[in-house]
Formats: sequence, structure tokens, C-alpha cells
Amino acid sequence: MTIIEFLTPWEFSPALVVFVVGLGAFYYLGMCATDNANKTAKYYWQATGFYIGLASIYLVSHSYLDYLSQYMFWVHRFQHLVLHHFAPLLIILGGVEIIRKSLPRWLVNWPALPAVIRLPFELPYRLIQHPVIAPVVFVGLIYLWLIPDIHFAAMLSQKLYYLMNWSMLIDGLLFWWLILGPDWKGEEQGFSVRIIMMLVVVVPQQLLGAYLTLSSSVIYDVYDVCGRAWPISPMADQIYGGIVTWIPASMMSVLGLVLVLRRRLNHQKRMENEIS
Amino acid sequence: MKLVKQSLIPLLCLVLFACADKQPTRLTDVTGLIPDLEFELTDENNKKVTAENYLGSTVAIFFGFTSCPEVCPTTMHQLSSILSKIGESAKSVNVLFISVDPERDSAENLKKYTAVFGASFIGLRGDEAVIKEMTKRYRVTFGYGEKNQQGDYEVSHSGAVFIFDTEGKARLLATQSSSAEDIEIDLKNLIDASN
Repeated sequence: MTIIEFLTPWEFSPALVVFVVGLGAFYYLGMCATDNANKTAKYYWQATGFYIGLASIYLVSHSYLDYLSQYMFWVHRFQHLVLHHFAPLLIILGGVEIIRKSLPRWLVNWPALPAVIRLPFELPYRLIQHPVIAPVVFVGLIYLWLIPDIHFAAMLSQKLYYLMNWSMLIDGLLFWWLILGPDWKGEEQGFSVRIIMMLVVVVPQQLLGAYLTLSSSVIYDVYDVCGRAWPISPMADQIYGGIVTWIPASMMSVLGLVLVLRRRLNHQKRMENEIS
Repeated sequence: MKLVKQSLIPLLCLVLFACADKQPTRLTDVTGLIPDLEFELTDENNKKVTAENYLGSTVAIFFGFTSCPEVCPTTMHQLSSILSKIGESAKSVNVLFISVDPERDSAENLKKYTAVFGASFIGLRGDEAVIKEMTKRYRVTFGYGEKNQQGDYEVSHSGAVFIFDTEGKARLLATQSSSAEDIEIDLKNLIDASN
């Protein structure tokens, strides 16, 4: 397989191209604005992280990997690992401060807008970002799309397949924004809530991964109905998929936990330095 | 009150007719969900055929290969016995066995293979790329394993049977977990409905 064959989209999705190119361009403008404001600004790590995250979304959704994700359970689990954990985490960590500089003025001055415009967006946002609801939605979506009947329909219908992947990506961005976004600089308030949220999402993911890995029967028959990308026993496919759900996914959540702790410690150090 | 009754009766009739028009199926009803039957392939007699050649008969398609050890022969035997149970009216059914292994499945091999199951069974083949396009339309796929020393290899493929009506519209999806009884009942209803 050549690189061109690998990169050719299995099913062309204009929405995805607009999303990836648009976000990438905004970030570039943000970098230019940062340079203009401060010639010595250093953001290599942020930019690298952001673009790796963005590129990984493109690769799992718009290349040969997308084809494999539709016809191999474990590749599908890998695709969701990227869309829900890996890419949003990197994008939030690397993107936020930079991209804010290229946002249109009305968006930067959002609180100044009249309530009629703000509330229809803010109320659902506040609801989904509520510290109790956000982790439930985060884990709930993983469970929802893995209910055998729903999984079957999502793999057989292109519309549902897109809905599944977009919902994972958007929820991933919202959740990691809540945990590691710039609204929280590491202060005491909000620290324990974030720690608890991270702990709450780790355990159900591990249980699900263990269930898939250790199950003695084939749970998802859609891959037998539609055929697999290459010959592999259904049990092996399911076990690999279970392991991807179990270990790297919960590792990513543990990584989130470590990042929250680190930010808290850095904040404390800064405060001590200011006092002394 | 009279007015209510007068308007209710036609409404009720409408609902009943709507129900009668579309019977609930035991298999997955894929009407409108899966694209119509469409292809350009060669048949087991090396004749070029398109979907239009099979319009007018109820068509079942299956993507398999002749050296398939388990799924294909089981499915074909099951369909064959279902067709003979349905009897006379099943004579108009065509089962198209579309090879996903064109390298090993020559027209001759296909002909020998389908002859075992009866006259309704027809083998079709085409280039790998053509078959890939066709499987993509129905959101299924196939793939090959590594060749062993004898040159043999495994093939992964779909276990689904797609059933189309006499106009080439997709109607039913049978899977490996569908029971023979369900396939028989739904297939018979479909044949009867188009007669």
C-alpha cells in the first residue's frame, strides 16, 4: 500500500475537512498574533501537541484507518481512543491559549453580548459541563455506542456512524476542556472536583474494557455480518478491542489526573514564591 | 359526536391500509436503507451481466468464495433447502453467489460450485476492485490473509444475505444468526407480494 492509497479517504466527508482545516488555520493565525504581541514567545511544544492532535483526528476519520475502523472491532476502539481521549487532550493542552488570540472580537467579548443571544448557548453548555453530568456523559457515550443493537445500527448506517464519531469527538473536547481548560489555573477551588471527576471516569472504563476482554462469547456480530478487513478470529478481534478500551483509555484518564495534580502543584509553588 | 365518527372511520381505514401495505418482517427490514441492486459482472458462463438481467425475479445476494470452509456452504445449503420448502413459487428466485476471491474462483469453479445447490444459484465474478466497490455500496467488505507455502490463503467476508424484490429494491437482510424459519417466512411473503 502506498502513502497515497493510505491517505485516500474511504468515504469523503466535507464536514471533517472544513473542521480540521478551519481549526488548523485558526491556530496558525493565533500563532501569528502571538508573535506580533511578543517576539520572544515560545510555544513549540503547544503547537506540536495541537497539530499532532489535529492530524490524528484526520488520520483516524479520513484515511484507510477509517475503513479499517468500520470493519474491525479493535481498530474501531482505537479510533474512539483517538477521537475521545488522545486528540482532544492534546488539542486542549496545546491549543487554548494560542487559539484564543485569533478568535473574532465578538466571541472574545462573549459576556458582553445580550442575554437573548447568550443564554440559548450557555444554558445547554452549563448543563453538559456540570461536574456531575460531564463525567456521566463522557462514560455514558462510550457505553451507549457499545450497546450491541446500537453498535450494529451505527456500523451499518453511514449517518449513525458519523453521528457516533462526531459525538465522541465533541464530547472529548468538552470534557478535557472542563478538566484542563484555562478556566482553572490550579487554585484550590475546583481542584477536588476535577480529581473526583477523573477518578469517576477511570473505573467504568476499566470495567467495560475488562468485560470486553474477558467475555467468553462474541458480543458484536456486526463484524461477521459485514465482514472483517482481514481474516482474524472474532474472539481475537474482541479481545484486542477490549484491551484497547481497558488499558490505553484508562491510562489516558490517569494521565489527565496527573496533569490536574501537576497544575495544582505549580499553582501552589507560584503562590508560595509570591508570598516569600 | 357524529362529526367525530365520520372523520374517525376514514382515518382508521387509512391506518389499517397503511399497516396492510407493510407487514412486519422477522428479518431486518432494510427497505430504503440499503441501495438498490446494481452491478456489472460476468456470470459463471463468462457472460457479461448487469442487475437488469435479474429484474423480475426476487434476488438474494451473498458475497463468498468457493474454497470457503464453513460459512458459505452452510448459508448456501440453508438457502437451497428453504427454496425447496417454499416450493413452486420459489422457482423465480435467483441466488447470486458473488465471488470475493476472483483469483481462485474461475467461472468454471463457480459453475461447479453453484450446481450443487440447484438451478436458482448463479455464480458471479469480477475484478477485485469492482467487487470492492460493490461491497462498499452495501457497507460490507472482504480481505485476504497471508499465503501459506501451498499458496492457500484465508478470506474474510460478509456473512449477510441481502434480499431484493423483483424491482431490484433492497428489502431484507438475513445474517448468520437468522433462523431458517424466519428466512423462509419472510422470503415467501416477499415472493407472494410481488406475484
